[in-house]
Amino acid sequence: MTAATPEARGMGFPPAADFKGTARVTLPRVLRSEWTKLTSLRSTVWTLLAAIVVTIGFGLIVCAATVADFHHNGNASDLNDPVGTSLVGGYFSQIAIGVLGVLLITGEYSTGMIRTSLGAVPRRLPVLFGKAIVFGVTSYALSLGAILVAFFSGQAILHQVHGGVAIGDPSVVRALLGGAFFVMTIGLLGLALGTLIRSTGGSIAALLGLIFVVPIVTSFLPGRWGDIQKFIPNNAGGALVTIDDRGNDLLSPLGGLVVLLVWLAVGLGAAAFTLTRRDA
Amino acid sequence: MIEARGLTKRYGSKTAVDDLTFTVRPGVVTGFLGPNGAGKSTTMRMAIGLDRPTKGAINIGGKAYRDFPAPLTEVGVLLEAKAVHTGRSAYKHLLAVAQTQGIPRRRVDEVLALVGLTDVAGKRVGGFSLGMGQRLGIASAMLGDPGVLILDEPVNGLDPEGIRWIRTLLQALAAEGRTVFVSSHLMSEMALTATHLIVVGRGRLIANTTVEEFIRQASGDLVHVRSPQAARLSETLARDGVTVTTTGLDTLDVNGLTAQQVGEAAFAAGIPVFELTPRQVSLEDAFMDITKDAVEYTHGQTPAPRVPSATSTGANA
Repeated sequence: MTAATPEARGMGFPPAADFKGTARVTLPRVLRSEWTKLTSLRSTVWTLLAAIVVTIGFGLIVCAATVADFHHNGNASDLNDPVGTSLVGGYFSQIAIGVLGVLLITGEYSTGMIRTSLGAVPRRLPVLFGKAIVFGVTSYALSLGAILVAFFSGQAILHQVHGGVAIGDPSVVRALLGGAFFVMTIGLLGLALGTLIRSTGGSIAALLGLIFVVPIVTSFLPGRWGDIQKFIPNNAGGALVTIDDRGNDLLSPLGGLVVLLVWLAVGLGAAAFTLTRRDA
Repeated sequence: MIEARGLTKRYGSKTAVDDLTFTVRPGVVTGFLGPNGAGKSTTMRMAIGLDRPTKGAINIGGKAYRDFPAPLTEVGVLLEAKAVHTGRSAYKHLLAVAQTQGIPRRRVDEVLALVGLTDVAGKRVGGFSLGMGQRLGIASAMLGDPGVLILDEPVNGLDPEGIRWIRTLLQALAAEGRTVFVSSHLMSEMALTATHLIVVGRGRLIANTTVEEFIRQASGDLVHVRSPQAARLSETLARDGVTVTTTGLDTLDVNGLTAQQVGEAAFAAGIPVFELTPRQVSLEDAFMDITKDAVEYTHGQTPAPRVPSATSTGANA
């Protein structure tokens, strides 16, 4: 080690003019910084791994249980939705990814890191969008990978009773891509809620409310008001992944995608609005 | 160069910073002094765009902080509380900060070595002591080799060695021609570190002067005299600009004359003197005196009347 103590250098810092000419904040550089932040926290890495494990694990368990049940009861209705059966783990990973989205920003507020982040990027929006892009791409890629593994291994299990489907079957690719998109959307809505609310507890409560409570409340709405149900994130996501379209009350897959995009635009837009206006 | 013009910040009906106007010049350490709650941290947060002024502005080198394309290369900042994610290592923290504006990894290693944290660079910041946290903050501030430094209470909670380290560092940085703006609520610390002083209380500017001048104005000359003919001596000394206070049967406090002047006057008048003690009001007392109307939170009890001869005991700086 070079013992370059400040004393040895007369307490001053050596000039570092060589990078000064090229230094400036750009979005690609903020993306690199956010990638470093995402991958340098143990909690983040573990949560991402957990999301992958539950996506694959629960899919395998439910597929195996379905096959066992079929051998036992010969109940063919269990095999109606083989894609959905193999992707059931997505319901659990959306929670992990959603909470991680919250923590990505509330972790900075609770530790004070946000002041360093916004001090380095005083325009602020690149910080939010940098997080959204890095986390969105990462969670989409990991979710899609996990979903593909869950799909192929799940269908292999279901094939034992001739109940599986192939990836080339109608709408299957759409459902797989859509499932990953839905998980990513929940993650980014978590990021948006975290930015709006800033406290970890409050933001997670709001996120879980959106995932679990809002569907219950909207299901009680009478008559035509009940149509609102179609537009909540869960059901818009459901429209994206459901292959069995008999008698369900969902939007079309394209409609579901558009609704999720609107949720993202509104959520991140509100987050951007407050982030640039509030004191940090 | 940091310039505040009519800087004001209100939170609801509470005014944290009230119409501050001052300039911080390069080349010397400028102390930003005031009791807790005087608005120092708020002012510094406004300087780097974290808080938005209600009125007025604070600019650095003629620009608003947010308009710098690479702010870290212009202004280095150390905020009072640790502004670091505790789960991240020191190295990754600095790397993430450096990456936002294309500061190379080599510079991260360099600042870590310079603050003496190389050996613990891979350890999580959550396990750092207060002193290590402050060193990391200094490393972060120096990442971009900035010409302006804004440091909020950098010696807070440090051990004597750490305090000396920061004091010497700040003076060296100022000597290199940088603008160094340091806040503290400790007058004695500022007296040792700073050359220029901006003193605030309750968000208002109280003084904008050199440390030397501030101390001279605040303390004045006070001489404690004991004489069997105290009353006569009192009459002898009385003249314009001199205040004589009788503090006991045979004791006087003389304000406005040096000990030598008092002794000569007593000799000329043939008055015996048993004791002649020059006393300087301590810096902390001077500071308290000047900011006493501007302290936001006082203790429940009415403060005891200040007796200079009592407060100066053993507290001479």
